[in-house]
Amino acid sequence: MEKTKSQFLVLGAGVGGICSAIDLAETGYSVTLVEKGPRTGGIMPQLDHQFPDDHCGMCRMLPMVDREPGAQTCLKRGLSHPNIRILTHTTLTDLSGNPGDYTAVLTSVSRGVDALRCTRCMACIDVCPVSVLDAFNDRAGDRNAIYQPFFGNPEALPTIDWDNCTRCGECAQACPNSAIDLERVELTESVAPVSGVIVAGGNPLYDPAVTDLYGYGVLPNVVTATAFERILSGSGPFRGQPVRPSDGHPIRRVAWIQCVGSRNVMIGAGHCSSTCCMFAVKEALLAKKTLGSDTDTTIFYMDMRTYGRDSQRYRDRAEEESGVRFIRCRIHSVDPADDPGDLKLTYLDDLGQPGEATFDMVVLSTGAGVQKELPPLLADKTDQGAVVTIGPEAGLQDIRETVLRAHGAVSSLLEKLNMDSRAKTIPKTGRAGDKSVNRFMQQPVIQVLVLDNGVVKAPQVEWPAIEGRLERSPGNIFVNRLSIIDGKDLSLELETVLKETRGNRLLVVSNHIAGYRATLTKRFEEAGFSAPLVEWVDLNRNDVSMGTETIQPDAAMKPIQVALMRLLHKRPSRGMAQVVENSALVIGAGPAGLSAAVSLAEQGVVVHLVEKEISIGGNGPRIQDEHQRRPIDQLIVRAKGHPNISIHTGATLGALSGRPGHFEGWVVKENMEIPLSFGAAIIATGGTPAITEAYGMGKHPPLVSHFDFEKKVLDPRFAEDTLNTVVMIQCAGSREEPRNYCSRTCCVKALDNALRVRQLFPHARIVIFYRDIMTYGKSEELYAKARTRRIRFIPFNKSKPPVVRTEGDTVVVDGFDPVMGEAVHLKADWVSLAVGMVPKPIHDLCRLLEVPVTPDGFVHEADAKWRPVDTINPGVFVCGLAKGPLRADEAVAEGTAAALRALRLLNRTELAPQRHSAVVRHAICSRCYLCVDSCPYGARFVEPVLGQVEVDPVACQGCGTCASVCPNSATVMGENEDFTVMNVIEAALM
Amino acid sequence: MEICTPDNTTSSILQSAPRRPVDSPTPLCLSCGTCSAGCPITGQSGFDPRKIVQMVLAGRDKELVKSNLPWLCTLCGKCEYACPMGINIISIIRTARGLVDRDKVPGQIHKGVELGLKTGNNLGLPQEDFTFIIEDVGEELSAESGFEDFMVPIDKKGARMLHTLHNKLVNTQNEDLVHWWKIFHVASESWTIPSVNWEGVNWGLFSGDNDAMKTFVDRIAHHMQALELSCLMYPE
Repeated sequence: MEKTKSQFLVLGAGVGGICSAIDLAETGYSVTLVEKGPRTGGIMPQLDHQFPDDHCGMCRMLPMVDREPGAQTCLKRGLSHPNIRILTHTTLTDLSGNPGDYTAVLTSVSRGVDALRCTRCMACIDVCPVSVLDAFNDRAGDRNAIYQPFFGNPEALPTIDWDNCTRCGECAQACPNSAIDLERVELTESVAPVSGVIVAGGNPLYDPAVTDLYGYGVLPNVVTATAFERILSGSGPFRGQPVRPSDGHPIRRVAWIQCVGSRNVMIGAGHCSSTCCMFAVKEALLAKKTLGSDTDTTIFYMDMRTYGRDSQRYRDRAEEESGVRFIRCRIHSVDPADDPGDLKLTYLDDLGQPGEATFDMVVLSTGAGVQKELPPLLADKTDQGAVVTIGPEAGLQDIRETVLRAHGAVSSLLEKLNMDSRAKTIPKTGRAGDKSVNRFMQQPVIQVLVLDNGVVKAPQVEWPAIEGRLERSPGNIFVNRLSIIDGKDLSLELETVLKETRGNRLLVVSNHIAGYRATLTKRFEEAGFSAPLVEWVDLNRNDVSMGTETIQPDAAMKPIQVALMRLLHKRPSRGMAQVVENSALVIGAGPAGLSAAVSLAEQGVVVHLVEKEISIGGNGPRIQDEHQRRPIDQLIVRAKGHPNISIHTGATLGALSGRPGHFEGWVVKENMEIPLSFGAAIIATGGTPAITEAYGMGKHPPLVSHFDFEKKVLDPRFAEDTLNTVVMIQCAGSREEPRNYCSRTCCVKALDNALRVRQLFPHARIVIFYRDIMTYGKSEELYAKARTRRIRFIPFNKSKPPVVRTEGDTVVVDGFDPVMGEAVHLKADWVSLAVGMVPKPIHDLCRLLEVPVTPDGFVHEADAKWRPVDTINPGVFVCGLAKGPLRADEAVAEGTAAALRALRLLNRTELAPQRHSAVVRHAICSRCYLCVDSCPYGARFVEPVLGQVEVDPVACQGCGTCASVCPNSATVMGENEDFTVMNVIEAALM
Repeated sequence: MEICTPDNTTSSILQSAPRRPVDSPTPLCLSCGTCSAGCPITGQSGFDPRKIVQMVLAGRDKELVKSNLPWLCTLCGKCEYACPMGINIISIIRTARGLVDRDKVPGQIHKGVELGLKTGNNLGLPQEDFTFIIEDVGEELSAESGFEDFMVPIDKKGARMLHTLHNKLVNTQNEDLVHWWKIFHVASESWTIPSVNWEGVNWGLFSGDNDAMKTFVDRIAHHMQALELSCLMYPE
């Protein structure tokens, strides 16, 4: 880890806030993460599962390279990073000064609980007489007015909900350690200098209590999607045994109502909330998993917006394999059914026939609520460039979009402040030659620090007996006891011990240590004991103390023996630190690649921009709309003129070797081979319009792709002809196998084209056949505009697409209008097909870069939601059409995000090897290479000269997959090898 | 069948149907099904409110006016209440009714409007019969203890409230009249019933006949002015 004095403020600790804070911290800056609420994580701790893999995955935001300083277990339970200071219950109350040199004033509200005195016994929570609807469970459960804001984190401090606390004093009386102060106190501090501010305020969700249609708040079995996820959750109000809230009956039939609070101009919500469709599909599958596969799950929708690359297949599997029902009808209202608690919905089915169904629960897919306005304090400064918001203008975003926007915000902030952070970084601990590393190399000598906590009523321990046993244990062990007494500063005493000790490992044993950990970790770090050199034993844990007042030495020794054994077996990494080259290879000079290249170059990185075609710009120059094309044109100019960018056109990557931080290869150009070396590579190879034979494409001249149709419409000659009818057919050859993904851009392009035709021909008939209109977010307004301009929309099912045929010279489209219940025949002057996008062929390139490819030929990112522009190769990043369909402006944004991710790597002068990395015993390796194929991180490779398997200690995450597939036990897991693990287990069983 | 109307077809219904309850353009309709899902008579004889909106948007006025679809609706307004696009579904249906030849308006409604226009009430009850019934019921009430001084105030200038009547209260259920009157009496309300044009039901609303509707409203407005009244009780 490297650090500078530059410090940033991140406001809001949801997904966007945490992501940008980690980005800044990992790029080498210190961050103050400010959160108004009681905890970090935003909505994430409330949700257990995410599309597409049905895991949480939040921890995937944590660093994968040089990750030791940021190592922790679960982001839902809190965040810790040496470069990030977290302030909850805190708001920004003033910001003055100039970009790069702001002074911020932060106001914190006390929690009412003293972190050092509280032993987390929770007696306060047990006695609190106040019961309020729990926002964490989205009102599907209760909590007290003093509560623990993090579920499942035993070290998290309880906090008082000042709005609901009656100051009755029961909690203060019950607290054995006088840790509770019922006076609400506001503390103000000033932070300076602050280089820049990222505002990640998040989006509030629509509150369905404001409408009487769905019975929310009146019918207890009508809940929001968030509340339903809480009901299903093991940490929710029913502790994983979900039942119907009204009467505890089993939940057998569940309906989802989409677009609650969205796509409704009557409530001023003309937008689509973008996230709710996939949320509902995921939740329906989750319901089947939790409540039984025979649970009746029905989603009532208008358009299933499966516009993500992997979403359509997920939805199809839900329908075809898991039996989730999809009914295209917006629900009017929810009525109580005859049986108490049951709910009745009426609807129209696909044939327009009225239907009625009864459900145990109805889930409201609530979208974005009213966006909070940026306070004037910040709004005034957004023009200055050093106050950046994470896309509130785009409305509610899913995790992937939020993460991308967070990366983009950090990138643009650094770019605007012209931060060449590498030049300013100063080395910190953890590097070769420093004290911690040297200590690791030595034979273990253990310094035990017994911290006797006399401040709180912690269990009593017979310390002399423990100390005696420790001193008699085998190995070099030294013991010192220090007392934590109220008002007494540990500093001096501790400093002396740390200074004079002969130990090179630390074991901390205490009868109560929560609250002191962070401070002590920092002190140890400063004294040359980095985190891996320290083990902690807190005897005031329920698995040890069992709630008793005294702990017997036998009971205390068990966890101590385990910790000792772990310390004795701790090893330094066997790999070498790798030097990082401050240069990058960007493959593909389309909108995404240009954006990445310019962004990196602006931040002092030398960029080799390689383009296969003879000119740069990719699809950019072919964008017909001038307004959309201009930013790309500007990027072309900037790239061409940038001193840090060298452009190789008509060139491809010929060969590659090396590891993240230092690659070597050459580009092939006109039979010349130009050698290159670089620290990171960004794939931005782009895509092209798909070629399809659907609907007889290519056979009839009036049948054209929507790209070609756009060109025709923009040609001035188009207006000179007569025109009666234009038919557009969406999803031609896409959203069904083998190309079963949404190309995301076609619906908007169809609407643009239709509106252009309407402008030229006010009386033409324009009909769009569609499956689901994918106007997510604000583009929903374009769909509304098209309707008011009398564009006619006719939905069709993929099993019954319209038919295109010829009658003499005329092209005729036969379809069926399900609303009118009648056939439609249209003689068309033009039929425009939305053919979708396909990626450029990238298999060879991806093989060189050791990056996997999806079945559709897109680059497979490391994680679709949490690491959208990373690949499993820590030195390779991806953006733009190469990894999935998107608009040009989205490609530009992704390019910036990929640049930031690469910068996190390139900003380091060297990469420390992972301590938990695998090692190969070459003598017994049979070279079957099973491990190379099975490594999920691409950290294994075959060394070309000797043919032996090598491990990249930077990329290796120590997961152990290799060790488990190796038939010869030729792979060992560093300090987690069998010998160590067995010893630790034995110590625990002794 | 072929869509024989291009999209720009002018639909007179679309042109003339007032945009209510909000000024939202009818083509904004999403065909989402909210109206149809909530409508109490969707599916009865092929009724489907979103289909009616789509017919109008396609300029198929004639077809709609010729069908019995507009007359199946109860005008309850449940559809409009939830419509996310604020489409004027009720106005469209009323406007379509207005375009139907008057002799094709369903019998009961047609007859009621005709009689109402001619006689001042939908039953065609002569004025002397009306006065007789009202006074008779009033006399019966004055026989009850506590109401000895009760008299029906007819055409009382300068009273506070105009009391219009639902015709069925006069015809078949006139015993229900006294419930109102008892309340007025006990509350010492100053009120009056007009001797002519007392009809409290405006069937112009249901027949889609805006002129008739206006005539009925004008009559009440006239009473209010002529009798110098400030408050109106309108039973439907």
